[in-house]
Amino acid sequence: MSKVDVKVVLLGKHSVGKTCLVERFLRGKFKENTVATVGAAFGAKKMDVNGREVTIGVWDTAGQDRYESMSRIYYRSAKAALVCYDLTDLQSFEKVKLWVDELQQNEEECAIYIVGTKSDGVDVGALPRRDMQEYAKQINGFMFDTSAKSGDGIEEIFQHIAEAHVNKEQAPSDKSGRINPGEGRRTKSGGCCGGSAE
Amino acid sequence: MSGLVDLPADDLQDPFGEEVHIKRKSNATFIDSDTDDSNLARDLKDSLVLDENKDLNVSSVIESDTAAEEEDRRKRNSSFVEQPLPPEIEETFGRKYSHEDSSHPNWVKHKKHVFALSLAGKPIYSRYGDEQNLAPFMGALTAMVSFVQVMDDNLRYVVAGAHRFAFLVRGSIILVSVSRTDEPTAQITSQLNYIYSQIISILTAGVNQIFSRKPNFDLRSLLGGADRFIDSLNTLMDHDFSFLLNSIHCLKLPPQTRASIAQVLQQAQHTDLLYSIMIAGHQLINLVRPKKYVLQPADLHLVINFVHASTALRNGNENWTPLCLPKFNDTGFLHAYVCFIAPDVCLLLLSTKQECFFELSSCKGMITQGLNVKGAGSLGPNFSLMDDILKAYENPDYSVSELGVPGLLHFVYRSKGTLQYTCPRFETPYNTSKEQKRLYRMYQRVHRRTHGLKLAHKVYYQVSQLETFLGWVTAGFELFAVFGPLDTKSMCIKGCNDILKWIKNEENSIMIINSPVW
Ligand SMILES: Nc1nc2c(ncn2[C@@H]2O[C@H](COP(=O)(O)OP(=O)(O)O)[C@@H](O)[C@H]2O)c(=O)[nH]1
Ligand SMILES: [Mg+2]
Repeated sequence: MSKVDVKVVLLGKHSVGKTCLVERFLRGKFKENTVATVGAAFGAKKMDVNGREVTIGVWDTAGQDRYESMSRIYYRSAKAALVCYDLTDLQSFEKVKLWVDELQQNEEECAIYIVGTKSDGVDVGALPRRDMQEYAKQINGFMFDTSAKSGDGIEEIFQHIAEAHVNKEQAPSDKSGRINPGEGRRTKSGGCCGGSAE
Repeated sequence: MSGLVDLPADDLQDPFGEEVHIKRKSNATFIDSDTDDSNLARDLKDSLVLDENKDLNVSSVIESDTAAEEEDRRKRNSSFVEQPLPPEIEETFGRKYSHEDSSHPNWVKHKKHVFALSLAGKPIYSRYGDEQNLAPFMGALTAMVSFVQVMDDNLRYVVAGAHRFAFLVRGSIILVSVSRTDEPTAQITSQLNYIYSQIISILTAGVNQIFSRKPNFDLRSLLGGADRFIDSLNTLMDHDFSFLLNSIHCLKLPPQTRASIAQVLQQAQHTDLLYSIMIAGHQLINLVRPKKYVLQPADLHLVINFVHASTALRNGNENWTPLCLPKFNDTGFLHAYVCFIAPDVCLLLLSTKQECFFELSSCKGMITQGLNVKGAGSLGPNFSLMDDILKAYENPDYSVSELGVPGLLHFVYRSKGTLQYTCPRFETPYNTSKEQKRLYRMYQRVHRRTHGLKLAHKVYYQVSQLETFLGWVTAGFELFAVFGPLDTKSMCIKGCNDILKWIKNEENSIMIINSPVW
């Protein structure tokens, strides 16, 4: 891969739909029958932000317990992490908290996106998610719902990440380098379904 | 250096002195069939009767096989129609036979079961059926192992009717095969050893430390999803000569092409890069290694099996994954950059460093560029090295008829110096998988005849109804050749000498003679 501007990592329990999400983003396809990811797969895509080209490099991890101790390789110096859970199986959210803890301890700079997957399979509005929204707010993270099957919400997340990168570059005075959640919400209110829904 | 070098063609006249061992077999009894009526549980019971007075606690197995149940089983059996799942469904929704347990009518019918369990008796793997549901059966296996261990001995195998139970204990893991394939025990044990290596390749030998701290540990929590690697290894070991011969199978390529590929790989060097490996299907195209670190065939087999079993690697992306090569170092992981550079051509760049993905990714860039340069291949100015590879892969190896040896049906040649082997592709009469399996089993037996500890013949000759087998083992090579059933001995001998001459001529295209290093 030539030059990557923004490193993004997907984390979360296996089978929540990380590989499908990445496949949809990179190639615009939905593959019904995926197989368990081995280690981690890397892919990149160029995005356009107001005429500026931003190359996003995406790490899709396996989420298998045996390599958990090594996952640091994959999220190290990531600008954004998509921590995924399955909207059709809210149990999978438990794992989200573990990943967020680990990220906050090791990668302060990394913006956290809490991503619900498979939104095509549920009535999203009816889900009991007050706690999760509270949690997202508390950790200063973004909340998105996506469907790799329909494509809903996926482009929005990456566009959001790319824009944040450009904004940050244009305002180098902001030393922290962290994407400002408030700003993100204002510019892309359509894509964020969590923060404003309380 | 090839093994052939120390055996000039002149020395190859009649190799059969007094060593010749002639064995006639009136009929072949080795036809594999899946509808065979023999019954594993019954055979097991037969053998256990012998052990009853030894207080072996295997009641769960015996009880499951009462006469009434046997009757019931027969009934269910006749109405049970196996619905094969399309492969993609199989992959997504789990393994084909995972619903079976030891009481399932079909479970006992599989010709070769393979189990892995911990010394404490916790299930780790079962080739057929869900290992969790087989816990009582696994318990019985542990009992057998520990029963013998108490006497300060190791249980190697038990013959029960048509079934052979082979055991291997490695570290804290017990491996068991229960088969009625008539394979020599030594070979089954070597297969079990490979399965142990496969487990180590996924988890490193650290598993044994886990077990010594927590004997009751459930390894499946760490192995999750790794069944596919062991499954695919089991399938491979039933037909791939690489495992039987502990040798490497190279893709046949024009010598100049292979040398140019070596150069392309060598030029894409990086300080963190340990091994560069290129494979097409299950065959090696070339590999570059540090001078000091030979890549053992057993490790390469695991790499190839790993690539083959991980369909997820064919995702069009670049992959980065930990991988342990037990012969190289069983206590730690290497990190593998894996990328399919053509539909069945895979490039693996192995490093000891965790953090060099992007460096290796740019090595891959250089390599694919070099492979695609027009005019570098052997096919003409518009063709690249990659075109050579794709052409070779489309039509791999060679036809036995190319050798022009009268009566020759098939052969396998192994060079002991390079640990590589070559064989022609399967053609009539070996064009069905059933015949290929039968042939493979025959090779296994002849191999055993020439490698057994007590009965190792340097030359072995066997005539059966369908073919004449000849095994010939020297310091430099091993040759196993198959002729028609009516071919005379002298014809076979001349045939073998002709094979050797042909191989000597072709060795630069069928093998890697100068292994490239950096
Ligand atoms: N209905 C639906 N199913 C999905 C979606 N994304 C993934 N899946 C299914 O979920 C399963 C696991 O997906 P995968 O991407 O491999 O999960 P991973 O282990 O997190 O990478 C697959 O069978 C997919 O078909 C989605 O957006 N909608
Ligand atoms: Mg995946």
